Amino acid sequence: MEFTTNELIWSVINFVVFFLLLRRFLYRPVLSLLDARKAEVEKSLEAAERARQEAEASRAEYERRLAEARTEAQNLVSRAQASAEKTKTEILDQASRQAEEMIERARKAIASEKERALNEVRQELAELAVLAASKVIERSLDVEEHRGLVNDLVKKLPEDTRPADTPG
Amino acid sequence: MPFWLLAAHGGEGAGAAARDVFFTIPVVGLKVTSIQTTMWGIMLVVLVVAWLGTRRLERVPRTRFQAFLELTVDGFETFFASIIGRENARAFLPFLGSLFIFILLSNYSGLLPGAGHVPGLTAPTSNWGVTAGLASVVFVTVQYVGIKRRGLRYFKHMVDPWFLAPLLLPLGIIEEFVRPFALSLRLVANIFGGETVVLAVLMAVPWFLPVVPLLLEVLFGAIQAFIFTFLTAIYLATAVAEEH
Amino acid sequence: MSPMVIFSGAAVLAMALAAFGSAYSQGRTGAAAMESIRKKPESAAKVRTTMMLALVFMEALTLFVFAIVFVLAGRVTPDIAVFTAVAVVSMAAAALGSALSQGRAAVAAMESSWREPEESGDTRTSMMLGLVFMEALTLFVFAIVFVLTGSVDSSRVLFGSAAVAAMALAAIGSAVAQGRTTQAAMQATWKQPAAAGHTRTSMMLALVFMEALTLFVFAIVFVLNGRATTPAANLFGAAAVAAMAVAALGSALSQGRTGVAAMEATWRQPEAAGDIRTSMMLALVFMEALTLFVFAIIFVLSGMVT
Repeated sequence: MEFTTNELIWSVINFVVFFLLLRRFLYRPVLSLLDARKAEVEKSLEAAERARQEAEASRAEYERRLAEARTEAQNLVSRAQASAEKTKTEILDQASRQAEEMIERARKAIASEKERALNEVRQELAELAVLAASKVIERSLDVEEHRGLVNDLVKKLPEDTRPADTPG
Repeated sequence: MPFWLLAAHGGEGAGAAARDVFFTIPVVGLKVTSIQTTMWGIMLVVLVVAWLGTRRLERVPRTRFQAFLELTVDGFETFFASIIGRENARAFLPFLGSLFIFILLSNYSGLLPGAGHVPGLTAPTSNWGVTAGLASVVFVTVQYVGIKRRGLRYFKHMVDPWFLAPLLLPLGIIEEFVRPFALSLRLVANIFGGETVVLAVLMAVPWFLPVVPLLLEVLFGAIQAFIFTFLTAIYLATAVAEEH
Repeated sequence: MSPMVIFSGAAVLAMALAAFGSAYSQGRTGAAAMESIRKKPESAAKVRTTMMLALVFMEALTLFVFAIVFVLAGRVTPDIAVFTAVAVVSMAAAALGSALSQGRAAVAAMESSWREPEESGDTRTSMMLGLVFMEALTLFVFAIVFVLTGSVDSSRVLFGSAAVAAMALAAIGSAVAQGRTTQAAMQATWKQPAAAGHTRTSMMLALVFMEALTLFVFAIVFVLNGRATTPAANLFGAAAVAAMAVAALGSALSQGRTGVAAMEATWRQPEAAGDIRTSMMLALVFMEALTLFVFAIIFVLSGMVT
């Protein structure tokens, strides 16, 4: 262990030269390479992230469209169902209405037919009665007396066989 | 080496071969000794390795060699960043890294067979002149970096508060000079001491027992290179740090 | 009294001291290992490995004293009988210091092994590192004895004896500080297993500084050895190494306290480990500087003493 100025000077020179050369041949190239690689890795990571985000976005768009289409179809179907239902109700209503009308008409026809028949019967009956009565009493009564007689007779008839609108 | 050689070198033991002068550079009068040739050898090996390794740097490391160099540089940066922050680590990396490699290999060169006794091979760091030179470089670098980054504010800690300046200024200046003194002496005492231990044990008990100090030296050589660089990193970081 | 009698007396005393130190520490380590196994029988194998490693280190310390006794026995002359006697006893004192500190560290490692069996690998690595440093202290004394044996003659017995004794004193100081710091690091390892790496790095850095103190004494002995050629230089050298030893002892004990406190701070505040480490280093540098001032003054003065 000695202290020699000669060694001191040499070691300063040697180390400074060593440091400058090593900086030139090792640290600067390797550090710039590491930096470049770091930048590149960061860049590609960024690109990957962007691609991922884009994929995410288009997937979301696709799903949105799909959902829309699905709703659309759903709407269509339900609208069709609703209109079919409506048509069905309408048809049924109409049919029942027509049926009712027909029944009503039939009923009216029957009623008027019955009325006519009753009237005819009554007419027949009245004439028959007049005939019979004239035959019985052998007297000729004028038509007006006959009519009054018949009307009295008719009034004595039971209610339901009475004609609705007895003339005079 | 026979026992009597120790005495023949005036009890200097290891490192005595530094006195064998191979030649003297004319005009400046610098002497080339085993220490210089060892330093040159170390520089040559490291620089050739660095040059070969970085000649064809590939974006994607294709060789283990390149991966090794990258790992080394990156490892240095990560390590120094943990002490002095990433920004400082990047700025001082070439200096600190070179210092570490230089000291580490200098320490380990003393473990080669015949180191200190074969002409041309002496561990440079077992000579106080060498470690003092390295510590001087550190001293100058710290002052230069401090003044360059912070100008006159660099000296503020020596005169703040102003009424204590007469006390703080001399203490501050002494501290600045004690640092390289301690750096150089700690390194040389460890390496030289270690070499002497190896030599002494080797000569006292040539079998088996010398393995203990030899393994110890492998550990201490690395630790000393580490602590020299570690302290230098702290000194540099303190020099550029704004008011704490 | 014949020189061989002086040396032999010192040698047996030295061997006894060294053996006592190693045995005492090995005993404590063994007992701690037993306790550790009793508390956590499932990790017995790991504890045993750690214990064996620690015991080997302590055993080697006595072997080094044995080696130096063996070497010096062949070189005892009437001129340097006193030196050889002081040398073996100094060597033994250093080994004793190293052994006791290693024991302290190993016992703490055993405790850590059962308290935090998961981290027994970390514990073992840190303990090994600590023991290596303490082992090296004795080796430095070994080396200085060896070197001085080659150069001490009748005119330099005083310096040589003072030098080996100074080295032993410095080594004991460093060992005490390192032992306490390593012990604190072991406790920090089980109290805060997550910060085991931080603890180990800080511990290692602290030990490096404490080691350096002994090495400064080593260095000054070397420098003075080359210059102690006159009676005046011989006397000055003896005083100077004694002064260095006292300074190193003081610095070492202070550094030991700082190291222990830094270890405690690290387990209490693991997230501040980096800051704690940097502060610790700066503090250690200051305490080291105190010894270096003594070194510098001796270095300068020794050139003037003729």
